[in-house]
Amino acid sequence: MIYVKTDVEGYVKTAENLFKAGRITYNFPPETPITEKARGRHILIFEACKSCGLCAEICPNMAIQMVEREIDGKKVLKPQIDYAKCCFCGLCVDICPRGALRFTCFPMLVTMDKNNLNIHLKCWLNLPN
Amino acid sequence: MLAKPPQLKMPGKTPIRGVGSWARSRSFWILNYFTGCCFIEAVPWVGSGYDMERFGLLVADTPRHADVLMIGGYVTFKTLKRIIRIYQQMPKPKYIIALGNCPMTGGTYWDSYNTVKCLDDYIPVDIWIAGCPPRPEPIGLAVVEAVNAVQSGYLGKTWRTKRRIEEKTNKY
Ligand code: SF4
Ligand code: SF4
Ligand code: SF4
Repeated sequence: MIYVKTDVEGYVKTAENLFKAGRITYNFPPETPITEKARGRHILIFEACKSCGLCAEICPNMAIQMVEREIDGKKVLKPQIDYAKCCFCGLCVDICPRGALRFTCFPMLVTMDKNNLNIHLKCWLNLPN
Repeated sequence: MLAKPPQLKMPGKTPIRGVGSWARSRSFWILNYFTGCCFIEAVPWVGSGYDMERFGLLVADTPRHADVLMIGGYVTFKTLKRIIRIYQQMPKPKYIIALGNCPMTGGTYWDSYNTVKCLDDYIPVDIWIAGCPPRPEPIGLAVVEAVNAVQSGYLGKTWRTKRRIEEKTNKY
């Protein structure tokens, strides 16, 4: 019965859109409906990350590499994500003990030349300042 | 302190070089060759919500009418033969868009015995869209980038049948 109900709801929605005044096409890009829950690029909160390397270990696609970065004159290991490999499973976000890695809902990852943009080695996470 | 969330930077406008490239950039005819699950996220562009025909994108019937070959998803060695055959039939200038991580690096199938790990060892891919699967929005951004590149006279990468050994050795 529930299937019939959802089916009918779908047809009603379609019929409504058929006779609705105004446009249904979204302007590109500002209007596109991206929910808050959509998984896009990560952000890394540098102060919270304690360089434990758990995220690099759990990543099923081996997209995370721990790279050395200089912060205030000290060299620390921070995760760097290769978006040519990441499948946005969210395991690294879940396992991070400090909540330093987080998802944003930013999906725009388009490159013309993957060698020039250096997806593999360039850090795509946002550095402070 | 929270790191700043990434912001969308629209690519800058490029000069129009010639009537031919202007016309070409406004009327991409696309041949869809969908091999994997990324297809599902490209489908909304056909509907009225995203409406690909406002950008001049039409779905071509045969490779001989197509300008752009769109490869969605993982490519196995068996499909690769067909892709190369389709690519050879397309008239010049021809462009290739690859959707998803699988053509780029193998993605989730990085240890599979049968997935092509790096598609541009075999055919020249012009635009990569990352994601697994990418949302429909980046496809719009890819179209904007393609229009910008083609109207300034971009004719696609050259096709090298030989594997690019030097690229192969420092990656994957
Ligand atoms: S979201 Fe998944 S695939 Fe992407 S970096 Fe994190 S663990 Fe790896
Ligand atoms: S799991 Fe979290 S704290 Fe540990 S290295 Fe990764 S981001 Fe940093
Ligand atoms: S990138 Fe992800 S969604 Fe796309 S074909 Fe590969 S596994 Fe499927």
